[in-house]
Amino acid sequence: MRVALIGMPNVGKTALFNKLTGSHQRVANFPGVTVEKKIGWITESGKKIFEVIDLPGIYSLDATTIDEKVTKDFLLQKEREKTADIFLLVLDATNLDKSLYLAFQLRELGYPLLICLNLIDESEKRGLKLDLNLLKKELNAEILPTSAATGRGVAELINALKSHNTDTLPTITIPENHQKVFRTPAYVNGIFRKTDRILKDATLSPLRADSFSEKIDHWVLHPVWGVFILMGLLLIVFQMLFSWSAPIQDLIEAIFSFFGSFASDHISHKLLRSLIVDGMISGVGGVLVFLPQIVLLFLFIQFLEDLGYMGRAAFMMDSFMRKIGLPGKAVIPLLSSHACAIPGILSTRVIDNHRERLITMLVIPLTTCSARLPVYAILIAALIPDTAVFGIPWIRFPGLVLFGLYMMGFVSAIIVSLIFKNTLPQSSPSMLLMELPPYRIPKFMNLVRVMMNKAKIFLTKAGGTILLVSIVIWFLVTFPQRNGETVLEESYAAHIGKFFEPVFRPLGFDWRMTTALIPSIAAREVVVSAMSLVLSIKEGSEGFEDHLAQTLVREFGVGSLLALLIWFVYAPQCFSTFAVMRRESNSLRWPLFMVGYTLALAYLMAWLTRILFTP
Amino acid sequence: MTIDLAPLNQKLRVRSFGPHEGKDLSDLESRLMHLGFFEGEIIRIMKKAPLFREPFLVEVRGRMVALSKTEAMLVKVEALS
Repeated sequence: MRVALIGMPNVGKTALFNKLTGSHQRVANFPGVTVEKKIGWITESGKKIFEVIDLPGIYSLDATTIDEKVTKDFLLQKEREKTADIFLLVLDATNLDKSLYLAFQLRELGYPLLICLNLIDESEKRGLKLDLNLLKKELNAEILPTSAATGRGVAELINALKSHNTDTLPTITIPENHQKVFRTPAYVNGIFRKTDRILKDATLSPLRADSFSEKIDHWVLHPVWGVFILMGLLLIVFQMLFSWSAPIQDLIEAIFSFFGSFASDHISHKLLRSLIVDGMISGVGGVLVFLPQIVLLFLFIQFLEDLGYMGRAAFMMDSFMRKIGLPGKAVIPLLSSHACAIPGILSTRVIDNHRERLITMLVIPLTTCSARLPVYAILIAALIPDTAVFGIPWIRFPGLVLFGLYMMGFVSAIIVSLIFKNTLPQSSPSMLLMELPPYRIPKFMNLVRVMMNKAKIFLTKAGGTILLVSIVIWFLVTFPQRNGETVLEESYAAHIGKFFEPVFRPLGFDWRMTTALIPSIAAREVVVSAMSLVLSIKEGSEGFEDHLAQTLVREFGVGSLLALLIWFVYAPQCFSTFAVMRRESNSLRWPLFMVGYTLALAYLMAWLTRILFTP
Repeated sequence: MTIDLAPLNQKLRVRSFGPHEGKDLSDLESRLMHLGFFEGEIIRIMKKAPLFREPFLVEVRGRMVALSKTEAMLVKVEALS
């Protein structure tokens, strides 16, 4: 038997879904859209007895956002047997005023409903007493009080599902012109008035007003303190991504280097060893290092979301962000992409306007992801003398330049976003209109579950691509061989590098540089080792970085190196970003466009730099 | 007056909404209506966001709803004396 779980946003529907199905669930996408489709199973002594599908929250059957349309299409589809045997409707007992709308609408159309009055604990605490029998009669459905937070009423709910008779499916009648009917003021008014009347009759003792959320909002949305709180939280995100995840990242690096040396010691075949150690292990390891950042970021985002803060952050940032063509909700994706563009792009799902989501994804590559730091570090060491600015000992030129590079990416993102705002075709008008949920304490298990899901998506969806690209690049730098030895100058990569040399000559890049840029398609930070490879400097040797820095300046000159530095501010992101964007935008066109425009921008800016700084 | 011009923390009654009465409603107007911005409903403007004096935070039918200025301009209200 199949159960469809429906309800308005913020009624505790997902919490109830988790309580009902426990760990028996999987997350997929609805066909054609990037809206999460969660399916779970209610089990009894190890046997799956019900399939539960968790539909995105809707306010009414008149859907306006992508999420809502998914639910509406599911509910209104013609083939009755494809929908569900029973519809489990979740109501918020602390706010029946709003949640009864959907109940009456579904009731009128004939959906077989089982209703749970969720958040019952909180509503009882606040003094609400209801005449459930009257409500049952009016809604012509079984009503069960539940509390997803404590698990109260969940066993009764499962029993009620079991005793539900599915022999005869009630017919659902959907009006022909439902698109129109569901949004006529008279129709809406009818349901509102009915809600008011029945609620008045069924309320034995009213709900005491709860000003808790409003009191917190007094500070959180305060003109001064609210901005401080927001900045503080953003600072925590930054800290978390750069410092707190470092130990775990070091651990992952250590594990991969252990695998690498283990494989080196135990594989005698030279070529196979090179493929596994240099190709697969170091390639995949170089990207997996970002997994802790991705997981931590999503933990934090989900925490703020469950707490009820995310909507507030969007509320505060909205008017500012809108000036540059982005919605308030784009703050978190843009910020997270400073760690890695992948979680940034994944977290754009919170933006429901398609065009705004696309613009956010397109400008994300301009923010400075942390994989660029090793490249910046080596180039800054080569180019910028470590001296104090204006004789102030704690402000030094290298730090100032690094800050400048971050700002450059940030300002470019704003400018590019403004350009897209004024050029990309407008599909649907931008909407802020959203409900801010009351504050709630996040549930630990839900956070863990979301985190695991994101990690799984990253590993399975990006992992395969990364492995493939790593192997291809390994092949390019290793072959063809002479007498069983790799000579880099003769490799396919060098051939490609030499082929593109004329194109990059105006930037001052010679074939060694263009060759070193090829592995950066897999991951940014490998450029450092690629550079040392083309310059025949042994990586990991003593004073390696100084040696590499000096050689770089001697071989290429200041102008070209500066051009390279600026190239990396704009150059297209790694292949994983491309793969994730391809998936999230559900198109090949937009990721290709992203690569195209960043390439053009990188070329232009690097060329200008070279002209300005070459005597 | 419309919501963007109405006073904070006062009971307001929604008079009508949108310039399109009688015609088909747009997605935005329909969403406003379903959230409770409907003739006769009593609402209260709780806050205006810092910096640009928008968006607005409005209490309507037991909900807290955030509205941008363009959205707020669609809803006509009157003060309850």
